[in-house]
Amino acid sequence: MFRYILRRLLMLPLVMLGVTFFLFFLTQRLSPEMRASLYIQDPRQMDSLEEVIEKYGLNDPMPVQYFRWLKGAVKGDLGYSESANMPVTSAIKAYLPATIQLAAATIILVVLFGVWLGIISAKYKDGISDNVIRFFVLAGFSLPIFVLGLILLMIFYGKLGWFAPGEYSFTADMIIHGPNFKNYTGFSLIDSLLNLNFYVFFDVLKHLILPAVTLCIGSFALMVRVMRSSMLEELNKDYVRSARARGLSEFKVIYEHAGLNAMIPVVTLASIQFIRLLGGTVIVETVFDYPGIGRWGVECAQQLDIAGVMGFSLMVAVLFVLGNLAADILYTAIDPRIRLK
Amino acid sequence: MAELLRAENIAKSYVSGGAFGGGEKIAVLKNINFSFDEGESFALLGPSGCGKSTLARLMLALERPDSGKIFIEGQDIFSLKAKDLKALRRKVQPVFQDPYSSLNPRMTVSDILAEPFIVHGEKYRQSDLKKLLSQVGLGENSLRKYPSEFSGGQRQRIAIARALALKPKLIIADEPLSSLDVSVQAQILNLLADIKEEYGLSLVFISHDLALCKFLCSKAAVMHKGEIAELGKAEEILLEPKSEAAQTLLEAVLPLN
Amino acid sequence: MSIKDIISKALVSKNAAAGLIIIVLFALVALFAPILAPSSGRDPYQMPQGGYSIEPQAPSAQHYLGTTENQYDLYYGIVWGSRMAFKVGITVVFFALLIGIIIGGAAGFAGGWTDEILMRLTDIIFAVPSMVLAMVIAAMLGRDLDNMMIALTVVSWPSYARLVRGGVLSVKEREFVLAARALGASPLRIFLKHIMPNAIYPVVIMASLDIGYIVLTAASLSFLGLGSPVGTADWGQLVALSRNWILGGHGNPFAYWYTIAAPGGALLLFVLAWNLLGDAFRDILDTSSRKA
Repeated sequence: MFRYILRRLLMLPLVMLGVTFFLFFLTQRLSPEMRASLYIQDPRQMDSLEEVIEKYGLNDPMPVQYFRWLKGAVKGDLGYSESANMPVTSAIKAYLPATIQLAAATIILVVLFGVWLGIISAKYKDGISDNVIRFFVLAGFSLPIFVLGLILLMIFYGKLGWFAPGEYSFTADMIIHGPNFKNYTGFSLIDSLLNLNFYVFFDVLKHLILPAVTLCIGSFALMVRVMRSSMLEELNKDYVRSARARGLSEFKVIYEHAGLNAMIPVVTLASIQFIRLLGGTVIVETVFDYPGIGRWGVECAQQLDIAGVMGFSLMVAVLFVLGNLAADILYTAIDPRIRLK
Repeated sequence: MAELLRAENIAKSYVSGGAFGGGEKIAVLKNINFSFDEGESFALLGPSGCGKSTLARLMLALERPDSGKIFIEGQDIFSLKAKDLKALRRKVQPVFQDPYSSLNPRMTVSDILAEPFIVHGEKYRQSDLKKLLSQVGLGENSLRKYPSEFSGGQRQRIAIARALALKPKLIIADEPLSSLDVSVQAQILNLLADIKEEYGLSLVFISHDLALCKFLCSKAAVMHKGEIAELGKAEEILLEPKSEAAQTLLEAVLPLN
Repeated sequence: MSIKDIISKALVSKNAAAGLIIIVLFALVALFAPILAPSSGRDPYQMPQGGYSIEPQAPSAQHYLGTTENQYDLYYGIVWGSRMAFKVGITVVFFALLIGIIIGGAAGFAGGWTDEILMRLTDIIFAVPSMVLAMVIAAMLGRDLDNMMIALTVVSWPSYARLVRGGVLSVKEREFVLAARALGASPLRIFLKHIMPNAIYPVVIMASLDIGYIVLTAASLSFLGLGSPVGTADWGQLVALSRNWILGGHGNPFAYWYTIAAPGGALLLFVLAWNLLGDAFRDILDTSSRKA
């Protein structure tokens, strides 16, 4: 087990090297002129194109340019993101908290609904509720996330006006960037509480709900399925039978005894899904105009902001690989029946 | 009679555990020596996990030993050139334990029986395939069927027919009965005896059942933990087992008889 | 278990049968697209524009499903979009499977360093979430249908390669392979005749069921403006065109509901059908592999 983790950790830099080299290779498909224009702030300066190509060595062989980028990356200099109008590292720092906040809110919803529906599904196995739940879960899973997002916006923003796109309202924005609001963590939800500013807190929460619900519907299918089968397994165990025989109420049996034990795989799945979400918020953030890392990534891709694309992909890849490793470890730690090779 | 097969000082071990080193070396075969003549049949007996199957794979040149040699008709089979090895393979054919795994499920019986001819670039006619089938007691309508349409015993017959296609001198049967029903076991045993007679071939009969081997084999070796515990005439081992390993094996089957 | 068994067993489930029926209906629409929605232009996948007004028009006798932004006929877009969905799904699955089979087969059969290097290659692709990687590749290659399919193929093949490799590794040890080796069959013959036919069938089934997922990812790329070119009959793009109209107008928040309902509904139905079918197959393939 220890050797396995060590091996994966040692593999990590190698995999990152491979990923970045592959992506950098892709960026080279754009002409030096195109890549040069990304460094120019003002189109009227276009006559200095040659200088820019010269200055950044955009005509050098690809490996040379790659190693120049890599040298910078190791030092923490990932270049300047045109689409964000700031250095890539600052962009990551600015956008990542919003995405983590969204992913966390989503996971809370996924666990709540997944566990609840999973228990009902298991309790009435093969009954009407079970089949209805299973069908709707599959339908939610099949519903394109951008279609769902737009429909929810149509109803709850357009018609009812309850929620709005973005991370917070204009007023909240003014307060957050005002003189009396201290940025402790960069997480708007936590900062607003620390500043005891409940107006901002509820404003942020209000903006968080719609994208979180959208992501939740798109990803809780697996959770329901896992909870259902885990619950079915627990309900067949001796201790549940004896608890029933002792005359414990059905509610106690299901929710306190079997339910708690059935939660083990749920915890691991939730941790895995949380990681997946960090890379999977790309579309939702775009639909809801939510200023997280995903929307920035899409903008980088759309605007061919190469430094941004490289930085964004690198960051997502590191999070994704480390997260998957952590989930694997958690999985074996919680469930000793699974042994890694 | 000329010597057909001789095994000299065979040793083989496997590395168990992690792919990244640190695994333990486990000796599967140690100091194996035996030989038998043309037309003679040899029984290899022992409990499961004693190294019988590994030895079978070595005799079929499917694996290489760590040390030691096997000679077939005087040729050292592990130092043959590719061409000579292929020529040797015609003379030595296997019949495996599990007839559900030994026939390719995506080939018809016709394809399976034709393969030996194709591999060795020999011409064959449908009648050749039909003849092979009739020799193992199956009708010609079986040719177009797939292995899944047959019972375990029938599949084992097909596997035997495949082994016979190239008219080998030696068939290595690795527990050919152990996954079959008892009633079918006798049929296959009789089939092997008939074929041995008809083709005048040798048989290495690998089994954990001491009693079965006496029908087929004159010589026998009892294996225990990768070593030969007792070597001699099959009948003698059966009647007066000297080694503890042979006695244990015999006790295991006696209640059944 | 034979393929026939698997298919007949899967279709016993009502969900799977429903999924299959929907897929067949879409296939019919795709097949008869030239009759259902005759095209006048040279490229039938390019949606005709019936005017220059931006504002969508409600369904009418002239436009069965209405028009979306820039007067693209929604009915035309849905019909030819079905053909586009199959085109993208089948092409991507085909090439991803081809690459997966070659690379996974080589890795499993050769073992050793070949295996190690090829599997690290799949690690590289797996290191980035497939949606993100597809997005970046599509963006760098440029907005074009072929480029989008290339991007989707690049992110899809590694999982097939891993499945094929696993299959090859398990078949490699089966006794019929040993029997073929004992016959003196060449490695190439063993690989093509004995190992591959037995290793790839489950993977081929799984991969074909991925068509729904691939069409969904393709639609997502198109939605982000990184997929099919402007004006292509593509459900994802049609959804993107509805974005400016979801808040409605003329005092009615749902005034332009059809702009999202039509393409969104088609996409949902298509993906749902594949998931219904896929679910049933996955259950069976799972249990049969567990028993083996």
